[in-house]
Amino acid sequence: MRKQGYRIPLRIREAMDSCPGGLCFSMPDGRPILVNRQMNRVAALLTGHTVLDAEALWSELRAISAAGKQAGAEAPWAGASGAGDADILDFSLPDGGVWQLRRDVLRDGGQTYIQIGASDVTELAGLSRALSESNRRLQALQQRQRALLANIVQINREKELVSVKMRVHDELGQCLLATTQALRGGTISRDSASLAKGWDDAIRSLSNIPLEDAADASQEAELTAVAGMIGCRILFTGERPAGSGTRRLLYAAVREALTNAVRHAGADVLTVSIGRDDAGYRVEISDNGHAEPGPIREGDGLRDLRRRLEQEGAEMEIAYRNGVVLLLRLPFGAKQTGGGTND
Amino acid sequence: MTNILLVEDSRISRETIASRIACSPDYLLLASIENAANAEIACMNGKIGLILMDVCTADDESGLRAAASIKKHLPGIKIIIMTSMPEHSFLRKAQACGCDGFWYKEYGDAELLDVCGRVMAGEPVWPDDTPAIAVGGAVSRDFTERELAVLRELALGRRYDEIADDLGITSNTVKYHIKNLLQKTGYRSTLQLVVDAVDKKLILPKY
Repeated sequence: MRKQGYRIPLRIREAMDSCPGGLCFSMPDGRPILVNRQMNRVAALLTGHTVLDAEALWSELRAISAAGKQAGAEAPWAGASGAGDADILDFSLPDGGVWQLRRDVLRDGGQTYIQIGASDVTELAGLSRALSESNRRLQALQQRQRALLANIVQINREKELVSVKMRVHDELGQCLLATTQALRGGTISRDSASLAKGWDDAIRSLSNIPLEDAADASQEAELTAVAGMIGCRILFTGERPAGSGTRRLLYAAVREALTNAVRHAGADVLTVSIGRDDAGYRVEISDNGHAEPGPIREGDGLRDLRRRLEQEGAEMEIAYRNGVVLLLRLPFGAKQTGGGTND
Repeated sequence: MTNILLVEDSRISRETIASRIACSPDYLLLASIENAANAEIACMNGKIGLILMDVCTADDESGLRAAASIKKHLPGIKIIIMTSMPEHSFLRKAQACGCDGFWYKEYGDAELLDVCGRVMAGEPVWPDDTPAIAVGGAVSRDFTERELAVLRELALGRRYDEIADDLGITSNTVKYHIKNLLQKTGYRSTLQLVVDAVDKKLILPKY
């Protein structure tokens, strides 16, 4: 029965050998029934031997695939790589071809067979590689684009500054020229008033330039000053966040708390306590106002603030402890740009 | 006498504008700040009658966003948006958030005090158009609103399918607009197009 079942007519074997793909049929225990020439060639290139046991071959191919992955081969096409536990494995052969091997279990009546097929996917792999390369280039271009956008306003300010410096340079040059001519022509006493005014203007313009480069007054100072305009003092305690993105989130929360405390609770002191642990900063913002006890309804301002905080992985909780208290957890490295980002 | 709040993060511009305001007996510069996000707080004491609001302010805070919030909570305060950027959407956004006037710092012939006077007299003051900016072989006014919307999305690094979703059009229509943009400007790639549009400040998506 066994020999009868395995006998393959010569013409079928020849037809299988002329097939461009690799084919292997075996019993479930791995004993080969039919292996065509292409499959033996691919197996020999990958394992060093032809197909002796189909199941042993598949285990070997899986091991090669896993080793290729561990060696850091670029999936899916370079070196031995594959689809992990799935029954499809992809390989680059030493001859430059890329082949995909697939294992299927076939059932015919009560009998089970194992089929391993090998397909030449070299062209597909080439296209896939080209697509990956295009995607990589596109991502790099998009990164450059984003970097450009991030800096464009600063670049514009720098250009404006350069233009002012050039103007001041021209003004000083004109003053020097006019003064030299007045000295040479003996008209210095007659023109002294206009010359003095010219020099005053040029020197005033000049004195503005270094100040433009210096760090602007701190955002905290400005926030404290505008709070003073509406009769509220802000008391900060604790270490301020080091990162500018995290500081912006903090000040956005302080602004919202300040507005609500003055508008709805008549507060005149806002207290901002900042602490830190391994995960980030813990901030508590409270006031001395007279907010009504009870559930706190989040209006547009608090909702916008919550969205802005959560976008950066920060958290906000609102509590009532003799007044409304904002409890924040801010990450160390928030990248938050201005509130206008979403405009 | 109208009390003015000036929101401007460039010291040179601030001093220039302050000196113009000082020349008029009709106005008093009550406060100058650099960050638009602080403007609403500064107005809560009820003393400010007019805000001169820059768009791109300290800490990347948008003057347009601040203006929208102020108009919502303190609608009696007049707001004039100021900018040196030719960004095509600023004018429309300023109108949408209920501002009263718009002044280009470096374009056109309008004098700031004249704009302030007309706005305080109740006249909306808007430039006829955004400044014409050369982008490649085209002028910004050659672009349609839809093309500018697609250009803005490209500048945000969005993919074609994302642009289609955002604008409620098909990917083929997105490609059609991009093809037209490239034809008009003469650029061969969207990167060249976006770099030039952003460099010329025609598109500033952050604000």
